[in-house]
Amino acid sequence: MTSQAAPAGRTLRRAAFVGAGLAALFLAGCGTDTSKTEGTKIAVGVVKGMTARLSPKRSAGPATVPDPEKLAASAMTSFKGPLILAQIEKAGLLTALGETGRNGAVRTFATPNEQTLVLRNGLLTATRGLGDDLMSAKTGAAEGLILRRQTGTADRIYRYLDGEGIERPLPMTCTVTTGPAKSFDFAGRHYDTKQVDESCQATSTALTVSNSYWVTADGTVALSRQWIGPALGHVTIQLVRP
Amino acid sequence: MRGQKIAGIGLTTVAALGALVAYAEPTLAPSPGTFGLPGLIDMPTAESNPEGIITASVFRFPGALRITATFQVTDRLGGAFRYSRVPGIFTNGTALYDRSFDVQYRVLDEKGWRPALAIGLRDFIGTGVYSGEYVVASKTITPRLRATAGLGWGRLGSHGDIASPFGSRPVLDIGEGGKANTDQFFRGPVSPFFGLAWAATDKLTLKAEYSSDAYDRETTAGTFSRDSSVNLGFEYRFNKSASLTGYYLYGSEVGLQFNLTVDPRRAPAPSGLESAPLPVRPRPAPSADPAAWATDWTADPEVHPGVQSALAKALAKDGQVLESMALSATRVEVRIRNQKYLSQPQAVGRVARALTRALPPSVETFVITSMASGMPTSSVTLRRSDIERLESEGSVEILRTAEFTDPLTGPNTGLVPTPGTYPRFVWSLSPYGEASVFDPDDPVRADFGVQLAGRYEFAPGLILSGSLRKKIVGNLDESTRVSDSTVYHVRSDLVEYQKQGDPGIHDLTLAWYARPAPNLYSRVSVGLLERMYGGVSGEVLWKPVDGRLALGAEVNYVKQRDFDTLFSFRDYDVATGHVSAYYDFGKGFLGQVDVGRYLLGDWGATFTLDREFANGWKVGAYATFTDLSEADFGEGSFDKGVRLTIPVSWTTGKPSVNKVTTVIKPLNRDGGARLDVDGRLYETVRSTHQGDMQIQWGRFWR
Repeated sequence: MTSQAAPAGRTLRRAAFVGAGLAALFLAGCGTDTSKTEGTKIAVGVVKGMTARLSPKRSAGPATVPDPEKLAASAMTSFKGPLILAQIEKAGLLTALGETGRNGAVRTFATPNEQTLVLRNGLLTATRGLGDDLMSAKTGAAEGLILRRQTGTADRIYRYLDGEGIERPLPMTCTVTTGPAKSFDFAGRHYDTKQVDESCQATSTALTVSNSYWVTADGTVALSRQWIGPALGHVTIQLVRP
Repeated sequence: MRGQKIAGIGLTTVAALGALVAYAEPTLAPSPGTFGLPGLIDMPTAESNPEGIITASVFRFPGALRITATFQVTDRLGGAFRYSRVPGIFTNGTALYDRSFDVQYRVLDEKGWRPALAIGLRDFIGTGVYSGEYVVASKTITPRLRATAGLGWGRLGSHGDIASPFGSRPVLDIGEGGKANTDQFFRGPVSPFFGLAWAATDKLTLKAEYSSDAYDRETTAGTFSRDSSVNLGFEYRFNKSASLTGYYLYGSEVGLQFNLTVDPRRAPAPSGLESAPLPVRPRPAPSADPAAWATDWTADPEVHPGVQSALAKALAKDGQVLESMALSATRVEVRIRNQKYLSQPQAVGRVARALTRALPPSVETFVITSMASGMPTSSVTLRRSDIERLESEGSVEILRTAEFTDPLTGPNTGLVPTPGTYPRFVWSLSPYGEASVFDPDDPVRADFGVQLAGRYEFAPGLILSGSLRKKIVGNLDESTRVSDSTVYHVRSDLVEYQKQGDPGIHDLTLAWYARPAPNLYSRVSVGLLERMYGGVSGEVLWKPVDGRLALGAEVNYVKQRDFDTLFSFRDYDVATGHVSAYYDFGKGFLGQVDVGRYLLGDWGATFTLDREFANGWKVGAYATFTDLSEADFGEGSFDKGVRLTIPVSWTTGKPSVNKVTTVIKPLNRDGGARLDVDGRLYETVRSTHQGDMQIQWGRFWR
């Protein structure tokens, strides 16, 4: 049973992709038509990533942990609007975010890299540009409990895109409890807060998550540790300038 | 045309969250057999892979080499395509190279005491070296132990048969191969087989079976000796996608198998590594700022150009081209070309938000028209107040308010082209590669080189494009294979093009895309249309923006190009063309039928079925039947193949409109061959139409 078989014409695009690995060694695609050069760029990225992994690690020196106070101070001089500091626990990087949009109670804060956290009265309702983002969240009655520093039970809905890109709701039932009082100073402001903990149980799976807020008497969330989603984990948000 | 009627796109299947939140794996996952689909070793089981899973495996032992790709088409239906090498059994003791297809359908699920039950056909079209049918039952005994027993016919009934319940098995009339061997199914001797699979750990599965395959032809050829019917094996899973299987086979041989699993729903990178969208900027309440809502700005001739220029800049930063804009006191229409986002709703959603930041408050109606190849293909009409109100809600809320229309039914007045959009020129210099697989003399040959491509757009829809290739390294020209086709070689001289077409003009065409009437699209292309043919190609497509059905017609008059792939032609010309029907069955299944005349002048039809995922992955299969006789067609009897499309954004997590498409054809012959012209209309317009946009609507607020 002998025969030749060969790729059809369309296959050339695939072939260009396959061939890119080798080609990356002698030529990186260039031009203004990104539909044609992208394959090469990816391949070059892959090759670079592999060589970086294979080559012995250069001593990076001690990781510099930015001082939150210093970061806040420099952000306050360079940005005039409302500011927060945020640290995604899995990524580890502490970043200042400035308010770039306001729609009713919803405020959008952006990093210099154009990634955003969206807060409604201090409660996280969406992220963008981080990858596997929280699309939106219905904070419902939990919001009132948290801001009034009251205990109680409330429903929440988180929404994410699934592996196909279809939006899926993640309904949760949350129990809000209050904890100890805490006073602290940050970025030139004094906060007298009470800890409010929110423990949420997914209604359809075994997933449980927890959020913590340090809320002032007037309902300002001065500091919080909130769950973004299954992929991103928790983010800590510190209010810098309301 | 309001969104409501189709808004139930399965948004709230909470069960689907299982996959999102926690990837709970059963203790005993289906494990591939030597034929690729879930199985014991050589014997099948009643297990199925999860729906949508794609696998690839390479199995080798002295009696065979099998390279198999599988796809779980639905929850119950799985299919496999295989390329195999069986040493010693072809003429003069040479190896048989063969392609084969399998299907398996799970009839019953395991429930209580009842085992799962499946029915399957192996190598059911083709030359039949692996042909066999089976009914198999599998039962979970403990969470880690599963037992399987079944009955096999054909090859699977060749050892230890007990009866021939459905009569004797007719001798296979191979002919040119490639046809379903229906008269053989479940005929002849039937043999029992059975086995066990035990998950020793979460990564290691051990398997044992009693095989009913006699390996008659292999043992006759002396490639191995079948000393026992018992096979033993283990599968070790490195991670969720890769595993290694080892076997001790038939009491005499060792076999090895490497397996890869790809789940189109599990991207290697997080989705959405991109710049965040601009947030909505709501308008002040009319009572708070009545002056802002005045409409006297319409009298100012500076406003329209000023807004358009600012908007064009903002959109350009986001990878979109504002081709034209019409602005009145209460309504705006923008025509955009999305060059960045695979999902058109994401592009539309970003434009909508940019509009809230650029337009005077009195403009309440946003009409966002998508452009494809210079044609306006769909308009999404949104109320600005809905965009302001629903920014933080689920995407289905804004979908309910969105109205999809054909741009040609709109007012179409006052559209002002954005200065500097046309003419427009883009170019690229990039590497290319071309491979030939399945060549028995040398299974993999390849060329690598550089491709210079350019595209000049004179005006919307009028496009000159071309590409030039120069090989740098490769061995495709070393092929000594000469087409054995007895009819005119309309396609099978590919090797000659590969040998002589260096450097070559791959294509050079002038194309004109237009909208002759509502629901109608047209294309005319002239020039060197593809590597082997040049001429003129004309196409019309009827596709309502909200319709599942589309109809098209294409007529081409082409001449075969010389092997040197420059400007000269061979002495062969043909009028070829098709009428086509396309239908979106829903749940990601798309069908296509093309009826017409092929490059050889043969008449017939091509049937295509694709499974398309919302994220752009596509797995499809096609078959072409024409009036060319099987003898004239040659090996394979008719043209068939499978195709796979993977979006680049899936692999990187970064936005991109590009996709990588592979067509795997077992044979490249002359019957049922179609012209390969670029820019066919259905694929050009579909992603901007209502059906596709609703499926991908979850990205509107991305």
